[in-house]
Amino acid sequence: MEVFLQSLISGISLGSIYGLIGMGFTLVFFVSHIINLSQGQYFVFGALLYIVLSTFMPSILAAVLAVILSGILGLVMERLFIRPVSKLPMINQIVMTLAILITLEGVTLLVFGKKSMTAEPFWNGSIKLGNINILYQVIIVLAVVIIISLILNYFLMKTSFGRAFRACAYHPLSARLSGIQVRRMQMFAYGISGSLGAISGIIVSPLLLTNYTLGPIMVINGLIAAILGGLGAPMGALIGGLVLGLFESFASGLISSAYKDVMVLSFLLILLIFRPKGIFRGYN
Amino acid sequence: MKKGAILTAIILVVIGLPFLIESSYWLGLLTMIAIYAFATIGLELLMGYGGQISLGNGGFIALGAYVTAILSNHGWNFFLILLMVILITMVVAVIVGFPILRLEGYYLAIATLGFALLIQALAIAMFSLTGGSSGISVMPLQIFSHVMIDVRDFYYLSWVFLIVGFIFAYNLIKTRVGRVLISIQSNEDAASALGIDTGKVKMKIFVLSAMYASLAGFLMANYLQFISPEMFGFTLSIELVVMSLLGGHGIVYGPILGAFVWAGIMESVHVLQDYRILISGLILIAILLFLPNGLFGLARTIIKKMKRSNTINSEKTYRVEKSPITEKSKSSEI
Repeated sequence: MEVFLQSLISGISLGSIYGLIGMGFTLVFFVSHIINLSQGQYFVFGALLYIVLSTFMPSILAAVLAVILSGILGLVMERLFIRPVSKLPMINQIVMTLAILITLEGVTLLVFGKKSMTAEPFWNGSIKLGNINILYQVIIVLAVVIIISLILNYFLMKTSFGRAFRACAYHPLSARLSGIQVRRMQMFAYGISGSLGAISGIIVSPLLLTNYTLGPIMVINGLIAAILGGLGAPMGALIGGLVLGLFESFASGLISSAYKDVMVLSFLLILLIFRPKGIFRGYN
Repeated sequence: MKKGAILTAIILVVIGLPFLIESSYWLGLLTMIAIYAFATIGLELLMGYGGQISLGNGGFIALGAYVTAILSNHGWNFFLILLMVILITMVVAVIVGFPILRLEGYYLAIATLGFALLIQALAIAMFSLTGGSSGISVMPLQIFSHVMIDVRDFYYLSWVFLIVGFIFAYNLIKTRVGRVLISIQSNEDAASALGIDTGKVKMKIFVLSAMYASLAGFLMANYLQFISPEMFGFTLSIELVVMSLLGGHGIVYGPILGAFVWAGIMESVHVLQDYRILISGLILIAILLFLPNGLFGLARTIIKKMKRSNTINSEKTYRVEKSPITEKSKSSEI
């Protein structure tokens, strides 16, 4: 029972992070039909920037700064490197996003160095629930992820900007004809997904040792979350992330931790083969 | 006739080089280039001709390397191992390819990447067989009574593989299979409407490309005499794609040139230490931005431009203005 509860909690907190990264993938795929494999590096960049900044300024300010700077980084990368290849074959685009991942990894290494860092918890302490401890930080992670996804959902569904955003996804040509600047929306999607990556990095930074090599792992987990959710709506990615997180933590807690990655990847392949449009058919 | 002469010259150079170059560093580098080029030829057939994206050929390299390592530790003979590598790859490629090749575009790319990562994860997880994340050493193999231990042995072995593999690929694309592949790439629906069993052809080329990759893994394991899962990650599969793009899309010579240039870049950024990752990323971005059609594509455009500037002077009056049909098709895109 204890193992079960512990796995449940770690699965949910892990999964919500994957979900947040997956949302970034989904947003970019939504408007520009590119899978942005550099996504995971914004997680690392945001987290490390926050850790360094928070040593000499209030945490809230540090977090806001890190999120904004990562967003700008996302915008700049799109404008400089993604847009010139947007007319080329898909394989060139995929490799370009990977090239950005490698470049950002190099930048992160030079700026923050090789050492692993962790941040002070936002709020120390834990709740005792029977025999298990739940850190406040875990609750903060969950709360932030839920709030962010609600804001994003509201923004996409209810505001006129969000409507324009969705129009670009469904039919770029008609969107362009009705005066929406499709290219600007695409750039914007990269900005938001950079910020989402940074937010997820910041909220887990007290729980996770972060260093510059973490990017590719986060890319893969976020990608699986996004595919589970069907690469359609951001909320799908959040649910996909939760499914992945729970699967991963139960697989390692109850079955075997050595075969954890094997099981997750087999899960991905089976899913792609039988349900390439995600677990929620018809969601998009 | 001319092509035969070029090939003979290349073979003579390949045979002669070890007598000129003493240093085992350069011979080792040439060996690795041959191995990479060999694996990339397989990818080029699948991707450049068949139009099927694969980010998973690194997984087949890992498969070939691990089969070689494990069997060599059981004292198997060179040719038996080679046979087993081919058989196992064929079985795995058919099992994996059958469901995966029905996917298209991004889903195919991700599924193949997932396969490569799965092989790596299996190599880490099955530590009693593969040595886990600390890796496994490979026993030196014996061809007849000659024990392969010198760099020259591996140099000749891998270049023989490369030349044979290249000639095979070169001839393959001139046959019906090659033309079918190109037709699948340009329009799969049209190809199947013409009565081509596109699924079958895609499957064949997927298995063939897997075979190239796993034989490269076989060579790599033999040469390096030690393999570990970290050698076969994400990056290896991507490097193959980069070498193929660098050479040029749908050009058989491409992979060889791509392997030379990419290995050259990678070896020279090695000295930059902490700046290495950043610089290699920037070089990759530069390649993608400025050489979208690879080095052969660049050469082709330069030659075309030179020819055109010659013809403009002599046959100026025959040049047609922009044709209305191409204009129309361009404007219908977004």
